[in-house]
Parts: sequence; C-alpha cells; structure tokens
Amino acid sequence: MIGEIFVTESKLHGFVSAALFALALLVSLVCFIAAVCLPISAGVGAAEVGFAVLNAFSYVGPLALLGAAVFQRRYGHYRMAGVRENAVFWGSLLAVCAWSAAFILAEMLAATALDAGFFLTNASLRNRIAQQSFLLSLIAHGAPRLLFCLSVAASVGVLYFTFDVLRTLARRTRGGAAAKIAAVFCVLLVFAVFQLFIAGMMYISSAWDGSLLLSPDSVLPLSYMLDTMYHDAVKDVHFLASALLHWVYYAGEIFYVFTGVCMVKWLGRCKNEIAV
Amino acid sequence: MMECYSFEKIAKNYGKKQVLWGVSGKFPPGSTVGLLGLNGAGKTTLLNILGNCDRDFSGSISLRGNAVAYMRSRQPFPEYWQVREVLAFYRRFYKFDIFLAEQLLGEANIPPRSRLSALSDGMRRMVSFICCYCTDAQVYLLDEPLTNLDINLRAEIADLLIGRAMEDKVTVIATHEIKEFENLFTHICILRGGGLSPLADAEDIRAEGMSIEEYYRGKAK
Amino acid sequence: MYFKGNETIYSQIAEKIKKKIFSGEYPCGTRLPAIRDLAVACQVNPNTVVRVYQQLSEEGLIYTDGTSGKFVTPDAALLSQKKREYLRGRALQFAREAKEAGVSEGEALTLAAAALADVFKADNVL
Repeated sequence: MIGEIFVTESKLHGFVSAALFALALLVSLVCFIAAVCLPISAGVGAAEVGFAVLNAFSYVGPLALLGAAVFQRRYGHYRMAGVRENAVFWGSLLAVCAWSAAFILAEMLAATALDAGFFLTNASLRNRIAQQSFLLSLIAHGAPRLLFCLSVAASVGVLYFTFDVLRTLARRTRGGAAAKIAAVFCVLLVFAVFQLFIAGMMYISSAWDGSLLLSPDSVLPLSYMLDTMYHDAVKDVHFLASALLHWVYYAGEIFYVFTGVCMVKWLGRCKNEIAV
Repeated sequence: MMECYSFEKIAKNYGKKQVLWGVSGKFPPGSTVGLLGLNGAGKTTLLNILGNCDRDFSGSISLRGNAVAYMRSRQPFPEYWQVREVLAFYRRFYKFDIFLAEQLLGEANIPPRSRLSALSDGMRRMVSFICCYCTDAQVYLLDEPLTNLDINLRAEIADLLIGRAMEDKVTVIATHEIKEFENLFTHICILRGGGLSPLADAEDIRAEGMSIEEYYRGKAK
Repeated sequence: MYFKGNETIYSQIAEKIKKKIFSGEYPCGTRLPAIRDLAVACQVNPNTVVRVYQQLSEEGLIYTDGTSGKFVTPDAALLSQKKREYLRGRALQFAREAKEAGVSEGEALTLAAAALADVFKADNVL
C-alpha cells in the first residue's frame, strides 16, 4: 500500500524536482560559460553567482517538495480508496524524503561537475572563488559529503512530520478553536524546545570544553549559525543539515518525534478507522 | 458475496448538529437499492461514510476498504491530473478492469490525456462513473450519477447498470431522478430526518397499487 | 418502454409476453430473449425479468432447457387452453365492470357484440 502511495505521490514530486533542477542547472551553466569567457575578476563573480544559485536551490527544492506534499494531502482520493490514514502519512513521508534526497544528489553532481569544469579550464579562477560556494561540491568536501542528501531528507522528514502532527491535532482536538490553537501551540513549543536543547548543548559545551561541538572536519555542514562562532570560517552552514553524526542532535530529534508520535497515537487520526 | 451488506447505528454530527441518528440497513446481494430523500436529508453524508471518505462517525459497517467502489458527486482527485492518471490510480488501489475503462472512455469521446480541469462537469462525472463501474468491488455506491449528463450518456449508464445488476453485488443509488431509475431498483429506502426507513421491495410497493414516486412522496415529507 | 407505475413491472412484462405467445408472434418452441437482453430492451432490472420467466414457467407457458435458454412450450394444446383461460379472465373482468356500472346483461351483451364486430370487421376490411 505504501509503495502505491509513493508511486502516486511521485508524479508531482518528480515534476517539481525536474523543473527546479533544470532551472538551477541552466542558470548555473550560463554563469559557468560567462565565468570562463570573461576576464578573471568578473569571472569570479559570475562563478560565485552560479554556485550561489545551486546552493539557493538546495533550499528551494526540498521546501518546494515539502509544499507539494502538504498540498497533495488536501485531496481525498486515498481515503476514498480505503487506505488507512497512517499508511497515507508513511507513503507521503517516504516520497518527500526520497525526492528531496534525489534532488540534492542531482545538485551535488551538478556542482561537482561545474567545480571540475573550473579545475580543467581555469584553475587560477577556481582558487579565487569563495569557499562557501563549494557547499555542494564533492571535489571540495569529498565523497562522504553525499551524506548531505540523507541529512536533508531527514530534515524535510521532520518538517513534514511536524505538519502532520499539527494537522492531526487541529482536526482531532475536542473542543472549540481555542483548544485547537492551544494544542498546535504546544507542538510548536516542543519543536522549539528541541531546537533550543541542541543549541543550548552546543553553547554550554563551547563555553566549557568544546567536547560536544561538531568536529570541524565532520563531513556535513552545520545546521545553525550559532555553531559557526566556534569554528573557523571553513565550516559551512545549511539549515536543512540536521546533523546525522552527533548524539546531541539524535537526542533532540528522537525526543521530539517521540512526543509527536505519542500525541498522534493518543488522539487517533480519525474516529472510525478501517480495520487492518 | 454471499452475505448481506449491512451497516448498523451510523451516527454523524457536525458539532452540535446531529445529521444521522443511528441509521441501520441491510442490503441483500444482487439488489439495486434506491436511496431516496430530499435535499439536505443526508444521502451524501451517509454515502461518504459508507464509501470510506468520512471516518468520523460512530457505528459499524460490514464491508469497508477497496471492496467498496464509490462514485462521488465531487471528484476527490487533483484537478491537474489527467484522466489516464486517474485510471492508473484505480489500477493501483483497486481490482480494476483498465481495458474496459479505456473502451468506455473511447465510446464517451473522452480523451485519456485530457486534464480533469479541462473537462466539463458532465464528462468528469462520466469519468467518475466509468472508474467506479470498472472496479471489481462488492458494493457500488453512486451519488446522483445522472446529474449534468446528456441523454446519450444517461442511456449508456442505465444500460451498464442493467448489465451489472445480474451479478451478486450490491448497488446503492442515491438520487432524485426517480423516473430514470425506478424500473431498475429492486429495493427502496428513504432517508428522512436523519433516519432511514426499512428496506422496501420495489415490486411489493407496486403490487399495492402505488408507484415508487407516490411511495416516496408519502414517506419523504 | 413505458410501464405503469402502480402495477408490478414483472406482471406487466409477463402480460406482454403472454399476448405475444397467444397471438402467435412467439409460436411454439420459439426461443425467448435472454434475461439480460430483455432487461436492456425494457430498461428494467434483470431480477425483474427473472421473476417474469419464473412466473411464465410456473404457468407452464415456457420451459428452460439445460443451457438456461427459455423456450415457448411446444405443447400447442396447453397453449390454447391457457389462451382460453386468459381470455375468459378478461371476459369475466368486462362482465364485472359492466355489472358495477349498472348495465343489464342484455345491454352488456350488445355492447360486447358491437365491439367484437368493430374489431373483427376492421381486420376483414384490411
């Protein structure tokens, strides 16, 4: 059942991913050609714009897919076909995570190709491009940076999960609008607590002995600006990089997801669900 | 399907407003049931519950899930989907005869590549009907199947329903168009005031010298 | 096909088929339409047609052979007996109606004779 939902959701996700990726690729290719043809000082600018477009789309793409997933939930076709609400959630979660990962992967391959292109055509130009531009390049960060796809997928998954919890709460909380708003507020509060917990641990650790900080040569970018205060300018930042490599992040996420799952289980997704 | 299709004590309320008060019914296999009632009586509400769409109700239903095919008044599919994507969806989630569906679409002059938003309301309903009809289900629920359809499509739907009526399935048609369907119904039940009348055999009604319309007018007020 | 709403449909269809059998339009041994075909032609539920054939079968007018085809009985004597019974029923109905209308027996007879003359004369002229 989940597989069928994945396939059905993928039609829109595939279209959105392909369209956005094609656009990003086109623009960055134009910038690449400009960078190679123009004199060096202007060329550097063009190159940085090209990479910046790809980096910007690493936000736009996953968020657009998230929007598409949220948008598709408003249609009742799965419900009419007798699919359990739970299955709809898992199927659509899987689709949005998989397509986000695929999108980022495509972008990373494009960035790597452009990076390689610069190396081959004009190495001195490449040396002048700002370090932040190479967020997505595997040449700059090595193959392990591919984990970034998974980390974006995880972040998008957590965001979609949040949407689902909020939606369930809004529908299932008994009582008037006030009760529903209070319930939604509680979830957002828990989400904020999870973020603060992580940020707090980082802050305390850096003030103390720095043992909990992400190591500067860890493969993924940082999730928060806060962390950059404690690293040199080499470490890049991406808000959708939920770090998969540190127990503080795990603890925060697991606590948050566990709370959300308990809420959904307690309220139930609907009054009279179809039996298995 | 050897047992009856039954539902018990279906109750539904929107906030303080109680729309259905413990509605029960039992439809024998092979029957074509006319679900009649005035506007606002709750026919669509009841069908939404029986047809998996509404799961916020109390009561029990003997058969749910994709063994129930529902032709809704309003299509639940995204408007930007193409007709062939709807068919693919049905194939994925139901036991579906896609070849028959494509054939019927061809006869109705509906191109499979057209988007739902580009179709007229009548054609969209015909797509809805065809998909429901080509599903291999135990129970078929049809909500006002003839609205906005031209004479040819109406005749075709009547013929298709007559063809289906020989099988062991239950067909429930909620409608105002009693005249079009009254010779097709084997049983009638009337939804009024949030309650459902007991199932009445259509021929028994006529044997007492009453037409279905007279029976309906008598009971629906 | 138009049916009266306040009489059972199966009896109306049975009536029509009986007339066809008695008139000779469906002579002995004719195969009757399949249930589904007749249902589509009359635009009624096939279960109704099943009931029609059941009733005709009980009256002995039709029979089912092994492959569920329905045929008019080959028994011509039975058919003419049934025809007479049917017409007697209609005649009785006319007689009852005449009596309820307050018409005397003689007057009723005259009316009947006149009607018969009209109908059969029309046939002869044509």
